[in-house]
Amino acid sequence: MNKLLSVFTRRSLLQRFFLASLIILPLFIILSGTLLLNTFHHSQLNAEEEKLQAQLYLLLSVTEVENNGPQLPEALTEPRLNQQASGLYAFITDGKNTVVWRSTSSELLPISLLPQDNTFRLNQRLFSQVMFEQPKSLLNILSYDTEWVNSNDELKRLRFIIVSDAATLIAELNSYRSRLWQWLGSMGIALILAQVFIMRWGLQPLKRLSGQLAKLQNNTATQLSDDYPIEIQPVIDDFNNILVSEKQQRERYRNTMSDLAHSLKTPLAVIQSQLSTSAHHDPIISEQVDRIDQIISHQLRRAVVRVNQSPINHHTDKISVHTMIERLIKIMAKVYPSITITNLSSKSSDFYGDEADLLEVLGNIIDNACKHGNTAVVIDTHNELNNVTIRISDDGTGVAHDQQHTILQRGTRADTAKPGQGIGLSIAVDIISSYGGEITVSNNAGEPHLLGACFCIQFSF
Amino acid sequence: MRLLLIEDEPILRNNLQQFLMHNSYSVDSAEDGREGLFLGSEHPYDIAIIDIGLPEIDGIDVIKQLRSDDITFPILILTARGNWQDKVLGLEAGADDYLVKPFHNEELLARLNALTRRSKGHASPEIHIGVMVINTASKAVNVDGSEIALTQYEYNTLEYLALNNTRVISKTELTEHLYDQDFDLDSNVIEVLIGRLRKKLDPDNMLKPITTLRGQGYRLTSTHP
Repeated sequence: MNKLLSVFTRRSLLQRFFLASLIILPLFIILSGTLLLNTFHHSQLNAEEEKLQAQLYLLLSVTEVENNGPQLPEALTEPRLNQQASGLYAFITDGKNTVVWRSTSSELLPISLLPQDNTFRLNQRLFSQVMFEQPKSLLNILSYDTEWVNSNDELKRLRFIIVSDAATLIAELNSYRSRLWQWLGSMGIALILAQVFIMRWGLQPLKRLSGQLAKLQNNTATQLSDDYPIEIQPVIDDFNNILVSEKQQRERYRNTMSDLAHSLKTPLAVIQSQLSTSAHHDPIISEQVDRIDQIISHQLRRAVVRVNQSPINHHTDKISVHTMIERLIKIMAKVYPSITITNLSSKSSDFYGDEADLLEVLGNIIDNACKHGNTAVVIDTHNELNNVTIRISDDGTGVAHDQQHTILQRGTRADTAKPGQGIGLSIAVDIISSYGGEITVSNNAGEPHLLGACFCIQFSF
Repeated sequence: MRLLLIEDEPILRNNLQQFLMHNSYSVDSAEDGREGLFLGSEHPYDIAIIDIGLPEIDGIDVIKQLRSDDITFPILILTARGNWQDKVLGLEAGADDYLVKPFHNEELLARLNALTRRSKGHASPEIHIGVMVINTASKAVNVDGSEIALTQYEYNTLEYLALNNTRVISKTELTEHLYDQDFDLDSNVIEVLIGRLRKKLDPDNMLKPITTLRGQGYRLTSTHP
């Protein structure tokens, strides 16, 4: 049960509130309904008592006590007392509970219904409801004990009893009850519906927040907006500040790594040049320098790439792939004048992320294609929904089948790689996978006349 | 070939200078961007090697400044960072090729050769002028199938004339491109060099490969026996 509840409530705040009000609201409704019914019933009885009391006074005012008992007019002013089974009855008993007078209306009523109470309470009124079995009916009974001086100056104890049928009261109460529950029930439903609506409206900013967080996650936004309710805006502001400082920290880290690479490689360059110029050229030292160089390049750049793999990637600039390829083609034309590079990319292809990352990926792969191509390299792109596919094909000899998988493996250790063998490519692979993208290589898959390697990069945003 | 080397690391600069001079370049070197920019704007170099991270003026800015002053000699950049952002910045600023530190001197030499050749409009390392074949990569000269042994300065003079064989090259230009800035321009060393070259290339005085245009300079002409 607990498990079920936790599954239910963990899913959404709305469900949590809905469940809570579903339990609490009916309780409140039942409680207040009962209270209202009781109050109504109470006031009903009070009113009835007052009515009976009025009758009592009327009766008292017309009563004359003779020696043989109380004398009352044949026809009383209250017509219901003169009419049989009218629902209003009057009795007068003496101190020994013997009926000394009864109204015309009460003639069909058995005497036994009268309270058999021998305690005499002078000048006290007593109101009670009695359930009478035969005929089954609920009766309101008001009794009043009094002493009366008769013509012989004897003090006579008399009890006036006014009885009324409670059937109308019950009918009134029942109709009140059913109307009350109807109203309270529909109010409850309306309240729950209103609460759901209020909750939905109240939780709207949170819904918007989760939407914006999703955008942050898939790199289509850089910051959360600043138009949230004042209760959550401080949290949003803090979050935005963290995003900004995280980005700055990351840039600092990147620069530090870059500087570190720089300061390590300059001495390596000195060693390398010293080796070349010295008389005793030692190939082993030269080879080890190459290895150190590869390890530095690889590990430092991988470290930078790994920073990009935080759950929320904040480098979310929108970069035109077409423009980036154009830039690279211009400079590749300088470095590889014998290669003709054709840009068939779509102008609407966009990359969401860090410009340096796209530059590194495309730079390395286009550079490879130019190195291995004979005369031509063709780059084209394909957009589909949120996917961007970039294909770079050359007219070289292609990649040997058994190497097609290994050259694209992530995390290939730099110290096992031979010089010039795909350090750039492995960096590109790392960057691509840090964006959740994919890279594949095949032969003869490019343009019909390009029978070399074809690298296919796919990003989803 | 006269080369400008701008590199702030003294040992690397000296080693490179030694190595390049050994490979028939006349080298002027600068240790910071300001000095490098001054040298680059003052002298007609055939090629320059510029490190990106330089004191005073950044390597990228040196290249931009040189290019905006219409200085067109090819530039090879040295970068320690090796990321494409740096390469792209350098190449977009006006450099023509890049080399990532550390590098092998042989690779540097190959790149320099390719760059100078391309800048003079020669796609192949072999330049054919009549029966004469000059291999700029191996620095070998063949006349009619037989190899001619040349000293470094003789070869440099011939290569410069060959790379620019569509023009007349003045004595001053030759001097500027063959020797570094400390060389005395008034000496007649160029005339001596040309005389020795003529003797070695054409001992029988049949081909007459180098024509003297009085008051203008020298030109390499198609040689047919």
